[in-house]
Amino acid sequence: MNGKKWTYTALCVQRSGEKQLNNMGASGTMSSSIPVIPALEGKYQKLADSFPVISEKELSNTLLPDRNQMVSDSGLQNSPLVSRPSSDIVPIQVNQTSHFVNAQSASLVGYTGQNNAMSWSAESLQDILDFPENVTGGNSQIETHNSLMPSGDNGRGTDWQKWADQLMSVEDNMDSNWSEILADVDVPTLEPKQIQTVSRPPVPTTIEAYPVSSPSSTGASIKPRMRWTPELHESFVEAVNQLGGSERATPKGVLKLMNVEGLTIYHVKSHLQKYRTARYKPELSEGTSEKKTSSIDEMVSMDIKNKSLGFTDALKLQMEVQKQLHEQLEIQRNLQLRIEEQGKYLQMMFEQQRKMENERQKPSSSSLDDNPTEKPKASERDDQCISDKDPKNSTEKSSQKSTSQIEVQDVNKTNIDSRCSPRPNKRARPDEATMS
Amino acid sequence: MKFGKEFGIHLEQTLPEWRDKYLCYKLLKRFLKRIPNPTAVDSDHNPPPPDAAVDRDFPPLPPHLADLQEWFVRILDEEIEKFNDFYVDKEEEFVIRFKELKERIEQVKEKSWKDGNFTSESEFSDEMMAIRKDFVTIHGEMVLLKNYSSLNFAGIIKILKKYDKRTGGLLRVHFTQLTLRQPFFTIEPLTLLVHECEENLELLFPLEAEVVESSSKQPDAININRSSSSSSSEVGTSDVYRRTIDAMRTIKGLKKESSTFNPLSFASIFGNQDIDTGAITTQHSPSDSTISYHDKKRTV
Repeated sequence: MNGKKWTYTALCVQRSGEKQLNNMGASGTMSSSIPVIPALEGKYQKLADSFPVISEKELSNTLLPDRNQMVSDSGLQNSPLVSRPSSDIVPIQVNQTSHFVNAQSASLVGYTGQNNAMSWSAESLQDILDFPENVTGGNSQIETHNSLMPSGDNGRGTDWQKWADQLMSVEDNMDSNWSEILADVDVPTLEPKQIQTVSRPPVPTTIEAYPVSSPSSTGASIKPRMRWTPELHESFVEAVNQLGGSERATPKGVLKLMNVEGLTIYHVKSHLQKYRTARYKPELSEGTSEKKTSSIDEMVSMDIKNKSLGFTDALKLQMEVQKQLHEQLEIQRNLQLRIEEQGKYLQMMFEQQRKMENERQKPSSSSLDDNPTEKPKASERDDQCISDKDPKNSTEKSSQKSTSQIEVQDVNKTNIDSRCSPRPNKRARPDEATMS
Repeated sequence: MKFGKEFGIHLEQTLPEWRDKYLCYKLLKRFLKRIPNPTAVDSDHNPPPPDAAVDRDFPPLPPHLADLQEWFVRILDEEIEKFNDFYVDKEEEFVIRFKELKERIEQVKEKSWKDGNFTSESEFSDEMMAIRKDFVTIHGEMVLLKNYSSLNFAGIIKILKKYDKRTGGLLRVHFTQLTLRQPFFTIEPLTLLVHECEENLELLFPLEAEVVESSSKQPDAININRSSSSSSSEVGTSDVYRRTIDAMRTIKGLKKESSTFNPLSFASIFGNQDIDTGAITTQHSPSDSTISYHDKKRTV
């Protein structure tokens, strides 16, 4: 499986390599055409050589798989490993990598900016370790690299070493994790759609989780993204009450009672913990209130607000402000969703361009188009390399395209119809409603 | 004001526990600055090697553009995971707390039906006050979470734009599509909660009759404190209020921003509508004609 993936990658690499060169207008090697920071090059070269040059497609696919895709392929959900288009598998793999490292490095580092950077670079090492077939003697290179790291190079050197060591051991664990994960996979999930679930019988089945792994993944699992909807929580509370209350209920018991597909004991456990905290904190914290307000200024302003207005009015005022903020945010969000419309249109343009190019280069392009039948849905899928064709022109075009919003909508309508995912429709419609 | 600046100010105002859950916008900008600009006119000019301080914060820059993109995407992925984790976590918390509040109302209702009269009217009104306060607080927090989502999304978009500008790449279009579907930006459940909250509050507030507003101010202050301690998060109402005001300010500030023309920027969309500011720094957006925002109310 790994082999298969890497052939795919290698071809993509070639293509993207060409594209990159074309873009740069350089015919030489990449390193000569980009003014590289000389000081870093030496240190980084070792890594870079073994660094898998992943295709643009993979680059842009490295996010979590599209939730919409999950929704649309409801029939496929129980076997995400096999039936997902390769596009999903690829992103999972890379992202899982990042997650695993994250989990590991989280113990070392916190969430400061600096540490973020450190964990980012940890992932690059992870990748190198992950793709042994692609990297000739990758591991050995890493070790060499580590040993070459001058000890004088304080922050980075030791960090790289630390991470490399860490990741070495991580790699050993990965396979065993996969088998666990694979066994555990039971992907349900339509995303919440509360509007629909409200009318359904009380037991909701609206858990949302991302596919946990894929056969070609070389990283650990993506954290199952569990979203607790109010309905789900209701059934949770019911189960807890049946079991005698939050103190007496056990995660196992609750899990069984709830009987929701895809819900794991870990979900229930953490949720139960939160639930207990929420219920008992009010009883605990009376009398310790003074410590809660964080600054004198706040106290004063709050006090003034309350004293001059009276408590109820103060609350009302606060509520008004909050409502206003909410309104503003709704507007802002609509704007942001409009960006999506623009984006869809652009993407479609690129897809079309690529199609044309593919046809021109027919023999060599077949390996890229794994799922030619999915092309109509391509604009929302991640299964094609994003080409770097005239990026500047395109981005300029995008700003001019705003005048053709209506065209965008029509075009997107076709796209939306061709996709089986209901969710984009949901999002697109409110946009179209506001836009017309 | 520029996005970065507004964003930074907002970060200062936000809760410490939230602060590092935001996008590392500044850091990412610095990262981008180190990327060699392929469109630089004079090829002789190499970007100055970054100083040691910057180096420590960042992994070394990959020399190849393809690697660079992968780097960058991975970094963004991590950031987005961070958002997702935080958002989903908070969302869960709100679901729980909200349900609890509704339970409390039920309990109070039951109590008032059971005993004909309340043993103590003030006890009843105290409890109602506390419930109201907690509702307002949770509403405020939920809206602030929406703000968090929105700001981070905007930040991601901005960074993507800057990346594309810097490298001549075309990451933004595609990556945006992916980002839009992330949990942290699919906030429909939260919006539903907020609306439900507002409905509940409409019901809760007009009941002036039952409220025994104590005449002296002191008990009010005490009530506030006691109630703030009863909300399950450490955030009291005063904190939420302050942060709400700050968030409004941030949004307002962002609307005024635009050093470059962008038909999709808030400034160009709102510029026409915001008569107060007169801060129409960009030409009228051609997209305005196609917009029909039913934004009846002007911003405060």
